[in-house]
Amino acid sequence: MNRILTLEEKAHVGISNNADVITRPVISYWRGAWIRFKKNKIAIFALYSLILLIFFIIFGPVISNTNYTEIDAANRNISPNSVNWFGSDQLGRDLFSRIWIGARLSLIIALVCSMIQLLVGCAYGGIMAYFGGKVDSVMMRIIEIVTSFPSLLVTLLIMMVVGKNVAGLLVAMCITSWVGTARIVRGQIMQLRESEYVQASQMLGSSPFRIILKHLLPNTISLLILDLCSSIPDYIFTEASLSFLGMGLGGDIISLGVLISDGKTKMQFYPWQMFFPAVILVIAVLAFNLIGDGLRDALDPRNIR
Amino acid sequence: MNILRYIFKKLIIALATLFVIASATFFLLALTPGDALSKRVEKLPDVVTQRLYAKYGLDKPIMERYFITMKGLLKGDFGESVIYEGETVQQIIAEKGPVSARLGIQQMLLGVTLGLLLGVLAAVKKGSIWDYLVVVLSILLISVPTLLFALLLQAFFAGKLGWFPVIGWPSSNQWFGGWKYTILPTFAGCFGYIASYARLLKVSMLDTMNQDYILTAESKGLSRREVITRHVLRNSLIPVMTRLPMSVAMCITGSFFIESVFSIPGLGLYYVNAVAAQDVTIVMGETVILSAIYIFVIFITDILYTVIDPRIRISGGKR
Amino acid sequence: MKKKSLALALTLVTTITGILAGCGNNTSAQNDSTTTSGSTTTSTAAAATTEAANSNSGASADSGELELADEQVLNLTYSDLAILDVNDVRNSNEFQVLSQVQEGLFRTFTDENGIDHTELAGATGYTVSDDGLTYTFSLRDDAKWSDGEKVTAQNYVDSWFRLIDPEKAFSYAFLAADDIKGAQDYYDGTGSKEDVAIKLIDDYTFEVTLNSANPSFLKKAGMLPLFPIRKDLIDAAESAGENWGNDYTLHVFNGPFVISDRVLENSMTLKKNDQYWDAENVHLTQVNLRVVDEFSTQAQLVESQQVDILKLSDLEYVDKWQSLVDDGTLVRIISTSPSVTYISFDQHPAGNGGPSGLMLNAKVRKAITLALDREEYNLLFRNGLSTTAYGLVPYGITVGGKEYRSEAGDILNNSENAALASDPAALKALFEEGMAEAGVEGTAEDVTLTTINYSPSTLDNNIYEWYVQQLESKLGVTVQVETFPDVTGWKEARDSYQYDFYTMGWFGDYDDPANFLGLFVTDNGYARFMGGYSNPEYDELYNKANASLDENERLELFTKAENLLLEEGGVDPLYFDNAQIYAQSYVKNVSYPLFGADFEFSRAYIVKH
Repeated sequence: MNRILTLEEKAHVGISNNADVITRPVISYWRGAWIRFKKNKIAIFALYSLILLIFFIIFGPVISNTNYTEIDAANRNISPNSVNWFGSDQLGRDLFSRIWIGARLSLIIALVCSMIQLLVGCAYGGIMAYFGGKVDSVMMRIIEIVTSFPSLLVTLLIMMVVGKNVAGLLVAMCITSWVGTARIVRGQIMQLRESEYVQASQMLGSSPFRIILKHLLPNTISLLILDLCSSIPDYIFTEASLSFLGMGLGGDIISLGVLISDGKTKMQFYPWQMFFPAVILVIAVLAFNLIGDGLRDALDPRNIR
Repeated sequence: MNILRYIFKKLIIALATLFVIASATFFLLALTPGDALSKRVEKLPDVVTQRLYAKYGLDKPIMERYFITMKGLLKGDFGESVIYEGETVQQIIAEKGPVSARLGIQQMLLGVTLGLLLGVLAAVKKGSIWDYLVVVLSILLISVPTLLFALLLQAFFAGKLGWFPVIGWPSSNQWFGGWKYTILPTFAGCFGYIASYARLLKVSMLDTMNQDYILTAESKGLSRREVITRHVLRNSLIPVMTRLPMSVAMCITGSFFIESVFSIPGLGLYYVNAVAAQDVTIVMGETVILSAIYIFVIFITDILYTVIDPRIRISGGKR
Repeated sequence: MKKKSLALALTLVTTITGILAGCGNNTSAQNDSTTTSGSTTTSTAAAATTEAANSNSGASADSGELELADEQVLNLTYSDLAILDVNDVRNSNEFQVLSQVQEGLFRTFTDENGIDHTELAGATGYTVSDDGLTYTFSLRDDAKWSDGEKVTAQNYVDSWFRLIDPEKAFSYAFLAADDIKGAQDYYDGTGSKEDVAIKLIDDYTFEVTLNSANPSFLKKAGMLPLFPIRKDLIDAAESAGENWGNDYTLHVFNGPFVISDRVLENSMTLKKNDQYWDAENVHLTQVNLRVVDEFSTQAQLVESQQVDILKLSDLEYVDKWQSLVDDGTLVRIISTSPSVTYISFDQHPAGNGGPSGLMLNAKVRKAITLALDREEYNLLFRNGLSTTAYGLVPYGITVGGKEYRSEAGDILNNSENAALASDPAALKALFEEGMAEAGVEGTAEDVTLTTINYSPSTLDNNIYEWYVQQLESKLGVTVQVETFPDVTGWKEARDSYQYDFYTMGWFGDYDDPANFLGLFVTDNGYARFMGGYSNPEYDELYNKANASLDENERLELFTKAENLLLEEGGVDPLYFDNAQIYAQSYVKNVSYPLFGADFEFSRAYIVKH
């Protein structure tokens, strides 16, 4: 694991009489990463696209100034025009507004799920790594069991148990996903724990809590950011897939998945009803994936040379 | 006889895992509101409803059903479908497993091959336009939902151009017949492999290229092509080899979307429909069998690595 | 041989509609204008079925010139059967396939005008005793199963007894249990099998006796669940522990086709049954059935001529395919389906008038019924292709050979109701009058109506959103939509009366208004789907109508009962569905009967194209 070696090298440089000084090289590491990231034109482009997307998600419905819930029998299925920029749906409701409202929910769900995944994963992995021994091996068994579970099955069943609403979706999508994060965190911390600067800090009498907070977590952050960047598009996808299966959000809740699966049935006649939400979904996923890719290169210490 | 003890230990863990999976699936299914019969009895008189529930044993208390189910699992008797009377899990897997497996294997072979080629290209031409193209292409491919891809491929190549059949799957000569049916579904499902294997090999190759012995080889005056084919590639393939068994294990479960779009009689489609219909026996059986296959593959891979790679020590935990 | 004229074959088919009276006008011209519904006679009386250059009707005229194609293969889509057992059928797809591979007493075809003609099939005739209680069926002696065994009266008797076997709990047991003497008791477990009045007379004759005279019994007797069975094979398979229910190789067939291959949830192949008594009139040699999930794919298959007949589930294709109909590629068939979609109001005494406490009041229900603009509903959600429902009983249902709906008229659109419906202020006044009667104070604005929904589909959710807007704008009430994640929660809410109204659909099982009107008799077994309407006057009218042997009297009494039901707002019918069917123009002589199978293709043939 080259990545860690370089961190250790830095630690050697940074270490002095006081363990706290270790934080300094970390900052410069981030600065370096940002510089490398900025050089990656594709990633920067993706970042700007994402910012634009978020702008529309927040302000889109306000800009178009149309009511996205009111049924208008006279304006059904109209093609994109100057009033309804993305056309209208089967009940004459403005698609432009509906898409941003839907994208807003999809994105929020993806972010919340990622946060849950990170928190649970960090806590679980942290505990495993810190206590080690029996605790670690029991917790590892649990991880193995969760991994062997067919994840689609669990997701579908949970949706059926909890219900086709946002809460159900959050539980269903997070129930198995934290495992990966927990593994990353555990692996990282275990290696760091063996490293010399942490041992040094221990010898200097720092409390375990302080060590986790000051040394272990900051060093895993780059990995967690990458984890986050790859899990957000996954969640957006899963939400959409569940809608395709008819197992997604129900009622009058709008998400990108719901809009696409509605539009899919009308693909032959009103292609824009599927095209626009699908394009927004692809752009969002693509942006996160490209940023993730850029970050992976930027944060990878091997690229420092 | 360290290795035997290791295998035995792993086997016990695998069985325990299966037990937990089966129990969890059972209780999750039991917790879901409604059951396989609720639609059917909707318009039936109460007396008839009770008789139907009694017939499928769904009137018994949950713990009793649990013990009956687990006992059946031990004997390999999963029970018959509530939806399709008389159909058993074994029959369904025997009928639909090969279909999903062929599709999965074709997708994997195509995806991994293309992925590795692109990976080599990106690594060798690092920093060039080719590198960028490979990165952007592979990310683009995984950023479009499979279902959309499948629908688009179907509408264009089968619908508009008429090059391939719109739907279907070879009915005879299951493994090697009717290639024209399999081409579109294979393409639609190989992008995930392309993206992940291209990335994997590229990173691994760049890693290897920075190793001292490669530098040594280069300084010895070997040509770049020779260095790459003889040293870099061979050593970079190790992570690919570790990833492959997992991909194989995933193959058999099938892909719901592709099977649905192209009307392929595979396991993925059947499985999802069975879950939606709450066909308890079928879902239980399929879950246990598929998990068993998955666990078995992982188990075999683990053992193979301990045999092949002496660095993985058997006695002292993992790593 | 290929040039075999079809005129001859077609004339051999003799119709016996006179005796059977099982004819219904099931296809109607749905013209572009949806405003014709005011006059009762024009909308359905003369049934122009198909709109295409070469429709079925063309066949009789030019049949001498039609040449059979070399390959007599029909390709269809379907959804897989849950079971191959005729007694245990549950869904329309089982009716579709099993009715083509098995045969009962009668078989129903549609003529070129879309009129149902029920013909003798397994039976050669029947007699009814003067009191209308005893039916004696005589069977043809040349009918065989596909294994060469003869079809005997014993096969029918076995089947009819098996259908009402209390241990089996078959969904369609009521077809026999409702009418046959002693059957209900046996089915309920209170009577014995010996007391059931189904009697074997000889190898080709059997007899049943009913509880009371009921002309509609004959319409039920020909239905799939009452088809004959081979008990010897079932018993053998069951004792051998074989999967008789779903393994087609264990089955024998007495219909025009046999099942020759099946891939679960994927495909099925039917082949012509050489043992079929009327095999010479069966032209198709093979029928391929495929499961195709996406409707757009099914449509693509029709466009590329890989599927021959398709019932639209996406109404947008009507416009898209008009050009294909115009150039003679496709034939469009509009077929009435005997179903009604309606709103149920919570009138169960235990429900106390629903959460609003208003639903026991007739005026409140009537105001809601009339406040919903059925034309707009049809336009928004059915693309204007369904028939707006101004009565409960759908088109196509007959009494004594007359179409009931045309005779009974558009009750909810009579001059009085139409005037009320177009005047929101009057509707609101009616609603508030009802509130006062029900003892609820305040104005309509103080009322919140609750409706329950469980469907995940956007279309259904849109419909509920539409209810909200209609009722809020016209009556001033607030409407709250409770969406349940699944059907079970919804059922609980329904059965504990936590709703004011909800939407339901009902499919008729056999051709008689009793099929729909009987649902609203006090304490009917299906009352929980119907809102629990109860009125002694209605019950009396209905019971009198049902027992009457005079068809004209029945019609009159049924009409009175339906008028009473609707004027009291006992139920709020919204629309009658029309199946939009498209067939390749080279496929001829397919029937689209009202009940049972969607497509009756046993006499279909393919012409050169």
